Parts: sequence; structure tokens; C-alpha cells
Amino acid sequence: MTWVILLVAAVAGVALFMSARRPSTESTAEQTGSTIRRLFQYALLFGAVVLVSIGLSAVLGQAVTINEIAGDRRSLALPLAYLSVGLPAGLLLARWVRKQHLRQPLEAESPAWTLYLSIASITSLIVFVVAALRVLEALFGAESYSGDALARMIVWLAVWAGHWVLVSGAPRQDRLVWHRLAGSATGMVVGTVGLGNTIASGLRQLFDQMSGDLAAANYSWTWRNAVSWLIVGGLVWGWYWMANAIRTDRSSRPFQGYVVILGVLSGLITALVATSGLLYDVLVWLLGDAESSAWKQFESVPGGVAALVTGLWVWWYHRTVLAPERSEGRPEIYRVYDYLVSVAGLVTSTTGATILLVAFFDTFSRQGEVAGSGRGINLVLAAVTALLVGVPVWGLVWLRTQRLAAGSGDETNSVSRRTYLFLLIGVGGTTALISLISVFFSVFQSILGETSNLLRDIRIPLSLVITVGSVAVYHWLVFKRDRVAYPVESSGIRSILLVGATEEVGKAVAHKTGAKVQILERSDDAEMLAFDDVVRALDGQTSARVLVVATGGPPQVVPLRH
Amino acid sequence: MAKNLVEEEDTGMKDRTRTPLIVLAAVVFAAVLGGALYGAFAEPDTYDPTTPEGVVQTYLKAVFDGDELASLDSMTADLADRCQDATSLDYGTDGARAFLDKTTIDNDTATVAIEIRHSSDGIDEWIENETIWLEKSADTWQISQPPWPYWDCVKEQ
Repeated sequence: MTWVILLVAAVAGVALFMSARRPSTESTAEQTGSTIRRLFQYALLFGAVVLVSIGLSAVLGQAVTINEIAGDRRSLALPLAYLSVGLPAGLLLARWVRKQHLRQPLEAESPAWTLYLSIASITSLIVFVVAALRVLEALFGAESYSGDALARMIVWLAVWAGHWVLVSGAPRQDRLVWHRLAGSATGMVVGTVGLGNTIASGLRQLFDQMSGDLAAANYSWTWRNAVSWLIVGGLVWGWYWMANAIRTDRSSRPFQGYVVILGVLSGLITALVATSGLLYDVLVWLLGDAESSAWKQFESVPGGVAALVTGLWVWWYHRTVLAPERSEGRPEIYRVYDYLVSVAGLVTSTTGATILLVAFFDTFSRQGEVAGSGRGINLVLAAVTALLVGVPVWGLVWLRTQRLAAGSGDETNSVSRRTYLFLLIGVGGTTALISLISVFFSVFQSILGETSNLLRDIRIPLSLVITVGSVAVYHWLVFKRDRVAYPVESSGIRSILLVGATEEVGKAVAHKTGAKVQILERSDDAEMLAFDDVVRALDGQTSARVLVVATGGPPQVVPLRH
Repeated sequence: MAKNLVEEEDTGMKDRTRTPLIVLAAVVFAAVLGGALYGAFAEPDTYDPTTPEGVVQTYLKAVFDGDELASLDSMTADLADRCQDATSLDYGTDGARAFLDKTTIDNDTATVAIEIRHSSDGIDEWIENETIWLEKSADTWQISQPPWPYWDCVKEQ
């Protein structure tokens, strides 16, 4: 069943990948035919590889199982059937693919082959990692020995290694950067979970010994388990990231996206969540409805400290990988990072402010209250914690982006800023309106005599109207100010065809002019179009459709009929 | 030059108006925080324990404290006997608050309608409306039928 899902995913992935491609020099009919052929060819090859690997793992698993008292050999029937069909089919397909690659070297440059290599490598890596964790846990005594896991580890390691050789020899290494980053992400997630749990279980053991708790759990099992994750994750991350991905082009968008979003942002958010938890524990201990003993109150501290240390390390390390940020022409990914951090801070602070406001209205709507579970003070302290963490995070990032926006139209009109503003205006405005309907509903119910305490009924929607509504209104005002300060330039040109330009130049021209830009590649070695030259050449053009051709000197602009 | 002067004037004006706004925001925040803390620490009104509302209050306080034995004290002997093995008290009271809705007294029987508001995070809330039945014997009100949150009051044989 799993392989069928993987097969379908592979087919869908190829189809999506192909549909997103720019047209090449092949004719459309030829291209469609090749795409369909490649799609089936590599999907079948992938299916055969999976079948053979499952079959081999099961057969080898039986051979290396040492602690079985009585086994049912009939369970081998299905794996043997997989092998009987998958092995010859896989060998034939592999031979056919090899021949094609030898006959047509361009075949190895096709996106379908790149996609096959990426999916097959990452699938085998993930299965290997899961099996290796089980084997290592057994080796450290945290789990019992499993012959199946050992067999899976060996077989899928071999599958991964085989594909790694193919990856290394592939001509389009630039397209394989995604594969290297996906492997790095797998290693980082497993490794950091291992690192966090290793620190947490060590601290918990220390904590319990200090508290003198005789009934305390033994954390050596958790620790051994965590060390297995740390080792496996560390090895995968070391290979994929340290030995490969970090040596690729650091200015590429996938690389920057990985470092900024998966590295810097995820590390920062982990550290902030951990800080909030620790701060909340301290505030409740000092002012709130705390547990009977300090040891019990602070029992989540080891986990919090471990998450804080791990998150800070991930954040700090990935900050050092990024080149120093430039204020002029800074890459869009930095903006994405800034606005995501800003959203995180704003959502946290707005949640805190809403809870606080609800608690405030509660004070005036307690008429008729007979009893409660007495956690009100802890809820207020949770709101204060959210504000203490959320407001500085949002404030620092937002003030910085506001300063950048004040001095640059690029920043003000950037896709990230516009998306950020529209998201907050849209989601905030909708939430506020729905809450307002709820307020009016309760008011009319009260007028019609069906509500015992109006303020009690409306305290939550009213608080949401005030907090989320303020967020929406504030960002609407910011958007309006942005539009006045830096109106989007419109040249009157709606469509531009660039002959001999890079994708980057095409996107920059589209951003500058607001026109739809298409690119045609030249087959000769003529000089490529430069952004500044194109902008200068387009200045004063009145035609809605233009063709721009690189000539070696100033670009030639040809106005086209509608 | 004139434009620069106007800009400087604008900036100066903005800086001057910002401080009172920040002070106002701080005052509003302090008032909201103070009000919220006051409400969080305040105890609910106390009802006369000889009235149906008072009995319900005593019973619900025991329920919210998780004190099963004390909660049985507010019931008739027969009902307490049936409810002593119930396990339903273990569920459904965390983050809850109870409000009196309506009391109806008819000679020696009474019903107290209550509203229970559950919320784990202070923003999402769901409401239960329940009725507690009481009867009066020897001038004392006692709960006579399984009250919220007891739902499995069956005497084991």
C-alpha cells in the first residue's frame, strides 16, 4: 500500500514539476510525449526499486532474526513475490534507462531524472534513518534486538548509496540542491530532537536526584534513546549538510530559504516557546496558583532548558551561515524571515492581550458565580507571559522593517510586506467582524430577554473585536501610508518578451514594470540582456506589448501589435 | 529647503505626540492588568448555606476542589450511598466555573439551574446548562438526584 502511495506521489510530483517548467526548444507535442514517457519510466523504476527493497529486507530479516522461538515461514510468500516480479522488472528498466542515458546525454538533464533521483534518495534515506534508530536503540539497550530493523537498515542503506553515486554523477547538480537540503533537514530534525532529549533526560535525572524523590523515574532509557537519535541525525546532517549542501552556491534561493526558514526561524521559535514556558513557571511560582513543592512546579524546566539550548544553537549556527545582510537590494528571503517573525510575535501578543482583556471583563461579570476551579490567576499570568515574550519580538522586528520601508520603495512594495499586510488585514478583519456579529447576537438576545448576564456572554467576542480589530485597522493604516509614500510604478507596458535574458533579470523587469515577462533563450553566444539596459531601453515606450532583443550594444526594443 | 523644514516640523510633532500616547497605552494596560488580577484573586459571593443556592455552592466548591467525600455531604443519604463509587468526578471540571441561573422552590422541593462555563485557554469557551434537584428534610436542603458532574451514580451490588 505504502509503495502505491509513493508511486502516485512520484507521478504527481513529476507532473507538477513538468508543468512548472519553462518551455524549452523542443516542440510542445514532442515535449509532452517525452514527459509522459519519462513520467511512466521513472515511476515504474521507482516502484520496482521499492518492491525489491521491501522483498530483500523481509528475506534478510528472517536470516538475521536470532531470538525467534517459532516462526511462520509463510510470511515470506509476499516478499518473495515482490522480489520475483520487482527484480527482473527493475533490472530491465535500469538497463533501458542506462541505454537511453548513453544514447541521449540530454536525457540525464531532464527534470524527471532529477526528480527520480531526489525522491528515491530521500525515501531510502528516511527508511534507513528509521531502521538505524531502532538498531542503535537496541545496541544501547533501550530496545530489544530486531532482525527486521537490521535488515531494513542494510538494504535501504545500499539503495541510498547506489542512488548517491547516481546523484554525484548527474549533470544538473543545480537542480539537485533540493535533494541535498531535504537530506540536511532530515538530519537536522533527527539530530536536534536527539540533542534536546539528551540534555533533557540528563537534567531530569539530576533534578530528581537533587529533589530526593524516591519514586522518581529512571531516565537512562530515555537518555540512551536520545543518544541514538543524536548519533543517527548527526551522521546524516554531517554528510548531507557539512560535506555537501554547505559547499553549494550560498546565494541560491533554495539554500537561503532553507537556512532562513528551517534554520534561523525554527531555532528562534523553539527558543522563544521554551523561554515562555520557563517564564510562565517562574511567574506562577511567584504570584499564581502554584504546585505544592518547587520540584513539582519546575518539573518541566529540564525540557524547557534543553529546548532553549537546542533552539538557540540552531538559530545561532544558521545566522553564521548567512552572509551579512545588505540594506540595499536585500534578498526577498530576508523579508520573508522578518515578516514571519513579526507574525509570530504579533499573534503571541494579540493572544495575550485578548486573554487579559477577557479576564478584565470577567471581573465585572461575576454576578451569580458560585464556584470555580481557581485557575484564573494562572491564566492571567499566561497572558502576561505571552505579552512579555511577544511584544519585544514583534516590536524589534516591526520597527526595523518600518525603518527599512521608510527609506526604500523596494521594501515598501515587496511581495513579502504586501502579503504580510493583506494577511493581517484580511484575517484580522474577518475575525473581528465575526466576533462583532457574535456581540450583536448576544445584545439582541439580551434585549429579547433571553440572557442572564450580557457582559459575561460578550466578554470573549468583545475582547477579540478590540484586539484583533485594532491589529487589522493599524495594518490597514500602514498599507495606506505605504501606498502614498511609494506608489507602484506603472509603465503602461503589459507584456514584454525578452530574447536572451536570465530568469533573475526577467523577474526584476517584471517587478519594476508590473508587466508580464516572458523569456526566450538564444542558441548563439550573444551577450545577455542586463537589467539596467532593459529598463533604460523601455523608458518612454507606449506600446502595450514589446519585444526586447540583446544586440551587443543597447538592446533593441520592437513594439508589437495587440 | 522649505520642504525640509516642513518634514522636520512633522517629525518633531510626531515625536511630541508619541510620548503622551505611550503613557496613555501604559495606563490602559496597567488598568486592564490590575482589573484582571483583582478579578482573578477575588472569591465568589457567599450564599447562605441553609438555602438551596447555598447547598449548591457548598457542593460545587467541593466538586471543583476534587473533594469527593465533601461533595457527598450535600446529598441525601440514599443518593450519597449511590454516588460514592462514581468515577465521573475525575473528569470535566478543570478550567470550569459555575454560575447560578434560576432557583425554583416548591414547598419541600427545589431546583437550581446552573450554567457551567468551560475554558482551558481563556478564549475558547463552551457552556453546559444543568439543573440540580434538592429536597428539604428536617429544615435542611439536600441534593436528591445525581447532580452534575456525577453521571454514574449506581450502587454496586
